[in-house]
Amino acid sequence: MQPKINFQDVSVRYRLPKERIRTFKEFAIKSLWRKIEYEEFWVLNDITFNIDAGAMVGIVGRNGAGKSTLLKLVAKVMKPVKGQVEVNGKVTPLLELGAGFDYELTALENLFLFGSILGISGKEMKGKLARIIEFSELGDFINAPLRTFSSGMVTRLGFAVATAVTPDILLLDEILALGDAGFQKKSLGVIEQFRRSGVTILFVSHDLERIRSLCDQVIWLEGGTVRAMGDTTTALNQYETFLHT
Amino acid sequence: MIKEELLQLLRYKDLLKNLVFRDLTVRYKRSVLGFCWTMVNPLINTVVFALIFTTIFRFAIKDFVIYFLSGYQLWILFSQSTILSSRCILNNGPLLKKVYLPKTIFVISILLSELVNFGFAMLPLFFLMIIIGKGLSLALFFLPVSLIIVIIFTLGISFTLAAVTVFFTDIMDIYQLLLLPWMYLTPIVYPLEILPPKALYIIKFNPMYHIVECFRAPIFLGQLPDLLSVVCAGLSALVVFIVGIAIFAKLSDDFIYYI
Repeated sequence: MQPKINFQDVSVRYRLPKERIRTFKEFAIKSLWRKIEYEEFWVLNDITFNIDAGAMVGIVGRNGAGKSTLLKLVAKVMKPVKGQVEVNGKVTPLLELGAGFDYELTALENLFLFGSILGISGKEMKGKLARIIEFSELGDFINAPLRTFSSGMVTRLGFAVATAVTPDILLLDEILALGDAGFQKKSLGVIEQFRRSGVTILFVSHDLERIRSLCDQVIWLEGGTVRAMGDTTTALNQYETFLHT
Repeated sequence: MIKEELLQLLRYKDLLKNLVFRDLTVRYKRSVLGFCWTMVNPLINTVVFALIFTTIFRFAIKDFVIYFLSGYQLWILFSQSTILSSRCILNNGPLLKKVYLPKTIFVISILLSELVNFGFAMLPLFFLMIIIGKGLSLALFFLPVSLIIVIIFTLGISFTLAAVTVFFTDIMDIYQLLLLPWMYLTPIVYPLEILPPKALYIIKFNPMYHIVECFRAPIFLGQLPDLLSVVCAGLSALVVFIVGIAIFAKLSDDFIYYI
């Protein structure tokens, strides 16, 4: 079977000015004096791995290990400097609170806006409308402007839209701690359902217990390289030993 | 690469529609007069400028209103679109960090919603043309061509600004600062005839002068713009557009490191 996600010798380099130059004025002055020095660092270094369709993979590592960069490559918002990233299928990232919403629009209008950001057509959205409204528990608030909503309501709406259409690949970045306990259970239910229907899931988290209970495989990143990849128990044990020494 | 982007834009056409809808509703939702604002705002400006220019420079007020409005509306379309575009990538940074989207979609949606506003703002002008102007002439059929030229020129500047501002945020302030003298270098509030010959020579190097001419001649004079202006406007629009697309394409892969 063709792997869902294939990284072949992938490297990502950040090349930023040592002092962060954000204005043209500074740039003009400094380049006149030839004073701009760039700092390079490799966020990901020669990474190679395959993820099979239907796997749920946890990604662990300390801050700055390259976890979010890896998700950016899968989501195609970033291109690698070297190597090849192959992603087969529709990718849906689960976004943090409120990204992609406009607080002046009503919940219903936002629903279509956010849906189209995730590449769901208006026609598809109309078909899923009843389910989204029910799942987000918004009821009569659906025609109220989003600025009147609590953050819990916004979260529920975002999750309901993002999971309205079953993606091929789902990206979860540290955001399974959604809403209240009841909604958390519900959202975990959806993730579980996706898993059973063969969605490939990448889950970045520092919550090792949650990774242990959900994932089949774990990738451990350290300093931009893969330190371990394999079944959850083995890889997590290695990572924990590393953390505690 | 451009073909790829066009295909993606086609795939995300629902998003384009929603972005335009969002821009328009958010702008008008909380105001009582709603869409009327787009028409009232330039009219107030007209009254102010008309008072100044008809009393100081002794222009006939009848002529002034149509002369001014035809240039001014076009300038607003151009300046508003480019100003808004200059921050569109930065504004949508948090989103572009997580979700793949064709990045040109923001520039295009801004232009489209400004075009809708422009359409509404043109309504009072057409009424005035019928009432106090030269009336409607066959030359008006040239306006779609003029509009296409403005659109291409505006897109070119917008792409350039949207891309460059990601790296240097003060570009948008510098640009806004330059817009004011640029407007006065374009005969919008004053007629060309008040300029000394030397200034007249310089002004011919301003692409916006020719673009405004292409739009104004059919409305104000009821005749086709002169060929030189059409050629200058068309060519400069094309050059600016190609340069803008090239800059945007070259820089867009690096946006992610700065947003």
